[in-house]
Amino acid sequence: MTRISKGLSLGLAFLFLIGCSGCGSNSQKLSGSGSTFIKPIMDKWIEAYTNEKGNLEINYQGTGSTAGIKQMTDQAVDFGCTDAFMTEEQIELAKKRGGEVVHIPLVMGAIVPAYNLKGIEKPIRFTGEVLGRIFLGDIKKWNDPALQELNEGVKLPDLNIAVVHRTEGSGSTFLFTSYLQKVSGSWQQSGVGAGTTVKWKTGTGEQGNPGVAGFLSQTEGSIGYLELYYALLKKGEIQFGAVQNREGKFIQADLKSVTEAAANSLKDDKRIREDLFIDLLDAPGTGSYPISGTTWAVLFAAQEPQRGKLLVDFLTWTIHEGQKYNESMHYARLPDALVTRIDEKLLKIKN
Amino acid sequence: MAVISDPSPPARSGIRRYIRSALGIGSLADWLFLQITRSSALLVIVLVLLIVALLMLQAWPAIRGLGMSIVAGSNWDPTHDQFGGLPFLYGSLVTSLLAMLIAVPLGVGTATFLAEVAPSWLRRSGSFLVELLAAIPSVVYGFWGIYFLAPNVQQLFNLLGGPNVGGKGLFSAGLILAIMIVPYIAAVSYDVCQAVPRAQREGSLALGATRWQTIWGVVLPYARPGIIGGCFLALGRAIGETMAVTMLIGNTPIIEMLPFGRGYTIPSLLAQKLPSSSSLMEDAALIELSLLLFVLTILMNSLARVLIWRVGQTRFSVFGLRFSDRDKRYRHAATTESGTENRKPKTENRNWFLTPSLVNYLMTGVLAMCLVLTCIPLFLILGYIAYRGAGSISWDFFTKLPRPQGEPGGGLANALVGSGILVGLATLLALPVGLLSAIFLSEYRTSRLSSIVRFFGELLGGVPSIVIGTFVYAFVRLFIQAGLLGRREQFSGWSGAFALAILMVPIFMRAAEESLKLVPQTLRSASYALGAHQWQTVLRVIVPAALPAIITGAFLAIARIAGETAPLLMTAFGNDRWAFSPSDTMGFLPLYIYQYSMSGDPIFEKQAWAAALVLLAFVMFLNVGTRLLTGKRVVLASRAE
Repeated sequence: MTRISKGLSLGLAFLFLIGCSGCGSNSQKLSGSGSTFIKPIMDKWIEAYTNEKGNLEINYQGTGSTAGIKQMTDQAVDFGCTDAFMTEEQIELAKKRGGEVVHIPLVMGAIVPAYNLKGIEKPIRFTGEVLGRIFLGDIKKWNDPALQELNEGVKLPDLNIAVVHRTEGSGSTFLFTSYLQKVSGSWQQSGVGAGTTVKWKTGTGEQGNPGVAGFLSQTEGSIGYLELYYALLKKGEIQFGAVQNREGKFIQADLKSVTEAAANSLKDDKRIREDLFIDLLDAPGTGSYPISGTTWAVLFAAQEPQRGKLLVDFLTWTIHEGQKYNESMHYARLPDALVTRIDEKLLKIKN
Repeated sequence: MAVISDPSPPARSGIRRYIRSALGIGSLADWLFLQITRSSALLVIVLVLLIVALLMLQAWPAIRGLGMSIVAGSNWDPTHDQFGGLPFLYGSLVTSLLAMLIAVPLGVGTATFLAEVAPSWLRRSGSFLVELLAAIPSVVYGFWGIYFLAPNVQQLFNLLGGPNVGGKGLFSAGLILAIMIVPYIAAVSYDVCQAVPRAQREGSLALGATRWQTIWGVVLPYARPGIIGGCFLALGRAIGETMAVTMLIGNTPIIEMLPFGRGYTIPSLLAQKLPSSSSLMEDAALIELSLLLFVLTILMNSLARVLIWRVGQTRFSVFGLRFSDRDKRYRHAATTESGTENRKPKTENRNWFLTPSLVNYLMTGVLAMCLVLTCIPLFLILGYIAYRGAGSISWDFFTKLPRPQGEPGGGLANALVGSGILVGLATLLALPVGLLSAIFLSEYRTSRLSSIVRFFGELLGGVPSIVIGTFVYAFVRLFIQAGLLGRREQFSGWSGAFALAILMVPIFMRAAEESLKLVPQTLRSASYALGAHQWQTVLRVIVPAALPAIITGAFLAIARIAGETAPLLMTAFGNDRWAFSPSDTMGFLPLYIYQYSMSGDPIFEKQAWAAALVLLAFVMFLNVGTRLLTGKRVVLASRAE
C-alpha cells in the first residue's frame, strides 16, 4: 500500500474512533422543548443552574409551542414550554398518554409589533384595529392614511409593507391573534380567528421568533410580531412600536408596562383560573401593555421518582432564584402572590 | 502486492488441502462469503421495501380517510381536520420546473462546452469546479440565498412593481434550486456526450460541417435520450430538496403565480410540521405526502435510468457494427447533416450575415458563457462565506458551548462533536454494508440478483433525504409503540446516524463497485491460478488493489452527508449542551447554520457564518484533497498492468 492510502485509511480509522467515542457519561439529564418566546431566558437559566449544580445537563430546544406540547405529550422530552395554554383536546390526549398535566407559569413577557423602517426614530403608534388590517393585507403601504393619522409628525415612507408571521404552531401567534380577535373589528369579521396556527391572508412565514427577527432585519418595510427580547437584539434594523391599550394610551412594551399588565390582570378573578391559566391580553390600567402573555412549562403530574425530583427542583429554582435574571432580559418577574400558588402546584407533582 | 503464501512445508500443506477439500471447508468459506455479501446486498432491497411499507402503514389512515383531497384539496388546516396538499404539490412542481427551465440550458451548454470545445486543461478544471458546486451543502446554499439572493431578488421585484416579500417566494426558491441542480445535469450530459462515438463527429466534420453544426446536428441528437435522462435525475433531486428551499420560499400554503408568488413545498412542510403535528391524522397526512414525494422521485429516477441506459446501448451497437441499420438516430443525424450541406449555397444567399462560421463562432461563445455562468455562483458562495466566516471565526468557536442569546463569548464545540459522532457512526454503519454489497455486485455480476440490487441501490440513492428522515422518525416511533424502545428515545444520536447511514450506503456502494470493477482481470486470474479461493482472492487481492479508490469513495460519501440537515431535524433533534453518547439528542453543525442564520441576532449570525465556513472547508477539503491526493492513481493495480 502506498503512503497515500495509508494516510487515507488512518483518517478513516480516526473517524471511526470519533464514532466509537460515544460511551455513556454518567451526568444526569433533563430535556425540554417548545416556545421560542422563553428560549433566551431559559438558556440563561440553564447556564446558571447547571453551573451551580454541576453534574446535570439540561437540553432545551426552541421548536415552537405546539411542538413542545406534542413532544411532552409523547414523552419524548421531560417538559414542554408554551405561551398558549393547552387546549381541551390536547389535555385529553395527554391524559390518555400519561395522566394529568400541570401548567407552571415561568415568565411573563410582551409581544411587540416589530418593523424595519430606516430613518424613523420615534416608535410608530399602532391600534389593535390598524394592526389587524395590516396583518389582513388591508393596509398595504406604510403611508396609508390610517397609519399616518395615528402618527402625526412622523413622515411615513411610501413603501410596501412586507408582513411576516410564524409558520409553525406558535404561542406567540396565539397571543397576537387572540389580541387581534379581542380588539380588532376587521379581524373578527375576516374569520381568520385566533390560534397557534391560523390561515393568514397575507405575508410570508418564518420559523420561530428567530426566523421572524431574521426576516425583519433583512427586509426594509417589513413588520412582524416578536417577543420583546428578540426586538432588542438588532437595534437600528429592528424597531418596535407602541400599542394603544384599553384606556386609550399608547404604550411601548418594557418591564414596567408588562409588570403592570400582570398586576392589574391578577386583580381580576376571571383572568386567572385554578389551573393557573392566566390571561394578560388587553389588561386594564393606564400603564398596562396590551399584548402581554405568560409562558408555561407543561409536564405530567406523575413522574418517575428521580427524574421528577430533578425537574421539580429546576422549576422551583426558576420561579424563585431564576427570576432575578428576568429584568436584564426584559421579561417581567412573576408576582409574589402567583409564586405562592405555583409552589403549591409544584407540590402536586408526584416524585 | 498481496501474495497467497502458505508458510507450512509443502507436504503438510498438501495433507491439509486434502483434508480441507474432503471436508469441503474451502468451498464452505466461499459459500459463507457469498452468503454474507449477498445478505448485505439484500439489505439494500429490504431497506427500500421497508421504507415503502412503513410509509404506507403510517399513512394508511390518511390514504383511507382523506382520499383524493390530499392532492386535490387546497385548504391545509389541521385544527379543523382539513388536509389539502395541493399548494405543497404545486409549490414543489413550480419551483422544480422553474429550476429546470434555467438549469437545463445552462447544464447542457456547460457539458457540451467541456466535452466538445474546451482544451483538456480547461476540461479537467472546469468539470472539477462543476463537481464542487454539487458538493456544497443545501443549508449553505440557503444561507447564502437569504443574504445574497433574496435582497437582490427583492430589488428586482421593486423595479417591476412587485410586492414587498423580502425577496422570498417561488422565484428565489426556483433560482437557488437551479444553481443546485446544474451540476447534476452537466455531469450526466458530459458523460453522455463522451459516449458519442468519435466516428460520428469525424464523419460530420469530414462533410464540412462546422464544430457547432456537429454539436447541434450530430452530438446532441445522438445524446438526447441520455441528456433527458440526466434532466429527470435532476428533477428528482429538485423536488426533494429541503433546506435551501425552506429558507427561501416564504412558507405560505397558497397557490400563487410566478414571479411574485409565495409558496410552500412538500419537503419544507415535512421539515417544519412533522415534529410538531398535533393529531394522528395530521401525522398520517404528512407521511402520505412524504410517500407521494417518494413515488414522484422514484418515477423520475426510473425514467432517467432507462433513458441513460438506452444511450449506452446504442453506443455498443455502433461500436460493434459500425453502421447499424437499427440505429435510426445515427442515420437521422447523418441525413440532416448532409441536407444542410446541400442547401448551403442557398442559405448563404438568403442570409449573408449569419454564415455558418460566424454562427459557429457565436455559439461557441454562448457555450463558454454557460460554463462561466454555472461557475459564477460557486465563486460567489465560496467567496462570500469565506469573507464573512473568516471575520467571525475565533478560538472560542471551537472550544465553547453556545451561550444564551444576546451574550457574547459562546462557541459551537458541542455541534462540532455532535456532527463528528453522527457522521462517524453513520460511516461505521454504512461502510461494511456498502462494501460487502459492492463486492457482491462486482464479484457475482452475472447473478440476476445483482442487477436488481443495483437498481434498488440507484432508487435508494434518489430518495430525498427528507423522506429518509421521515422514515427513520416513523421507524423509531413504531418501536416505541411496540414497547421496544423508551418514549424518551424518539430523538437520539443513534437514529440520526441511522438516517445518515441510509443516505450513505447507495453513494458508497456505487463508488466501491466502480473501483472494484477497475481492478484488472489478470490479477484475479493470477490469484486463482495460485489456488486461492474466491474469498481469499477478493479480500486479499482485489479489495487491497482497489482500496485507494474505495477510500476515496468513502471520503466523498462522508463529504455528502456531513452537510445533511433535514433528516437530522426529526432524528438527532439538537442539543445545546455536551452530548457524547449517541443515546442522547445531539447538536450538529448544519442545524446551527439553519437556526442562527435566520436569527436576526448579530452574535448568532457571526456563529452561523463561522459554522458555514467550517462545514464548507471540511467538505471542500475532502473533495479537493481526495482528488489531488489520488489523482489518476485510483487503482493501484492498474499501474501493475
